Amino acid sequence: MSGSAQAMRWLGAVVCLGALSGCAHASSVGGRHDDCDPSAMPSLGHDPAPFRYTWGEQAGRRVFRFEREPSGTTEVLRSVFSHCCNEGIVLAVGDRGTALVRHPQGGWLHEETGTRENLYAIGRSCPDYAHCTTHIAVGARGTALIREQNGTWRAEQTGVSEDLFAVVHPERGSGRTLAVGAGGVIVARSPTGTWHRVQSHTTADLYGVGLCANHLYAVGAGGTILDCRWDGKDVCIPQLPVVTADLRMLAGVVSGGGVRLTPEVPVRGVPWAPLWAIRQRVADDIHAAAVDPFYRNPVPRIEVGEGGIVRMNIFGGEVHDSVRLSLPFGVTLRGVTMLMSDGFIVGDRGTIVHLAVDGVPKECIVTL
Amino acid sequence: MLLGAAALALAGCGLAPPRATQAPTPPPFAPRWEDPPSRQLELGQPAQGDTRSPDLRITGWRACKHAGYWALDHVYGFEVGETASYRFTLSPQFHGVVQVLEKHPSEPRYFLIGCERAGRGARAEVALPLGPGLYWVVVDGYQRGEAGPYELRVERDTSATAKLRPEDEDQVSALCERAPLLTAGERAHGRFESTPGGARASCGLVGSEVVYRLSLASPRRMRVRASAHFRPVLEIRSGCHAAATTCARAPAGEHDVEIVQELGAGDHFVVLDGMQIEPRSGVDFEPKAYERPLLQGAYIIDTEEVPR
Repeated sequence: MSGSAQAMRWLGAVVCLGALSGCAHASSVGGRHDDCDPSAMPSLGHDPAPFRYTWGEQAGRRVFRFEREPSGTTEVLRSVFSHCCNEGIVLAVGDRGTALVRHPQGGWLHEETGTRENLYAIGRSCPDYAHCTTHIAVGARGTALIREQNGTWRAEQTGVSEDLFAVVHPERGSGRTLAVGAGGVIVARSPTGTWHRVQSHTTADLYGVGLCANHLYAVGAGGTILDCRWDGKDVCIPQLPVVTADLRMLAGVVSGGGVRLTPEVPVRGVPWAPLWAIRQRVADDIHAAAVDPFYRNPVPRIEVGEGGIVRMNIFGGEVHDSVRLSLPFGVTLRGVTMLMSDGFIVGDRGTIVHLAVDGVPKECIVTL
Repeated sequence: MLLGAAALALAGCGLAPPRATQAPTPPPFAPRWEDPPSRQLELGQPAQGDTRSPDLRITGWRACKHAGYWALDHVYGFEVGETASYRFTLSPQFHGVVQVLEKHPSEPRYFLIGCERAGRGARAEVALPLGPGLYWVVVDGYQRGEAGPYELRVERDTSATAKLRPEDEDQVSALCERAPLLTAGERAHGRFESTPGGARASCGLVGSEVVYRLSLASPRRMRVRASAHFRPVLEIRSGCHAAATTCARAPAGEHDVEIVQELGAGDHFVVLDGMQIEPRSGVDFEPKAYERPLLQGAYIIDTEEVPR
């Protein structure tokens, strides 16, 4: 693709979606992939009465369909992940070693992971970030599982026995992966699959890890925020807590206790000044969030949580809006992912919801 | 032919062609980065030469030079053993340029980190903080073909503007006055930035604004431990400008340092310092690189009383 054609497509994306600000933007730009196909996520058509939400009017009208998809399990599903690589594969993991993969025609298929431990998070992990087809799931008692492209899973020894709650594979992480968990445990995986423990200087449980403003942060109980560096020897240094609530990293946004936090510019001459500030008061019922890595989605950011709560930032034309819905499915939602114009949400009792959007102008769903 | 055409074009625009001291045909211009320069620059030892007999002919480094022109170069290797501020001084008998190049952090080449030019009989000075390693120092002409005799020297920069320099008394007094208290059993958090003239540990290097006060009602045995994104240095003083009671560096490659020390009753000052300067970005002559602190990162300091 020529540079000018690519620039035009980027421009088209911006015109359709507008611009986002803050950590989410910095943390979510994942790179360019030529194998993204927005038609790879057709509705399975298994939900006779999907929940619909209509937004906007006339040309800007969007219809959001939340279609339940049979998962074949009643286990709690805790995390779902998708990416353009590997033909838009979507994976979900949950309790008692549950792993599911979505087949565009056949629906969700069970995969044998070889473990009965609860799996709390899934992401990807491979030496080449731009062409990554290997996934990683982490979970209870130091569990780490690698899923190869052919759908086989294998366990790796992390060297720790604490529960691992979150995992990240940063674009500029030199192919390394970081997992965080109970008791302040942090473990790093090298591109060759060896693990080592990273000193965290905390015993607080760590619930989330991710990029925010080009820094890698781990967050957790009691307002814990660690600033991690990967240049040379891995090291994570705790920051001055500004809240006492448990914190989560929700798609690049640190939140908890009903507030969102943003990093502050250091104050010259006051080295001990807080480096985080409370920027926004929010409801404290969100468990997970996702951002479309390419910002080509009418819902560039979506959050899900307790009792079926869904909060969406919607972009249409030059208008954007934030809406909060309560899905009438009666379950708590624990994981979400966005890929092109589709979203996938997972939760309790094996719940999987496909979010499809009708009425999006074709030029707004661009392929780079 | 191209050079001839360029000279003709300039003449046609009413500009005089570059003033050239006659020089022989130069050797190939491509530098071989893997080969250390044959000329060596020694600290405090002036080097003299004449670029009418050039080592290399190098293109591409336009900073401090007349845009787009080639010139004739002498290339020196300068080996730094100890991190410090250094000042390079070129005294040319032509319109000359001195350039300092550092090994690229990830590529097999050197990149420009500083340069300055001077007219005939004047002095060009480049002052830079440098960490251990081999640097290339290039004596160049400002315009194409400009060459002649020169003297080049490098010395420690001990001026009041050096990025790495001793404490400034007033600056440190102010830091001590507003130093927050360290409390046993509690953790202090913050963000370190190297500060020229700031509090500098006797076994440290870069100086900073990180000074804490430790007030003891009676003599105690205290443990003070610092962890940071960088290799930290801790010092305890009995007064703001007093000599160090104790000073300790984290081992090379480590991020934690600890002091266990018997301390008398009264106020003590705890200084956090660093041992190294961060690698530059690898971008040729990036002006912002010179505004950035030489070292920065988050830190914590844990303080506790330990039994005697």
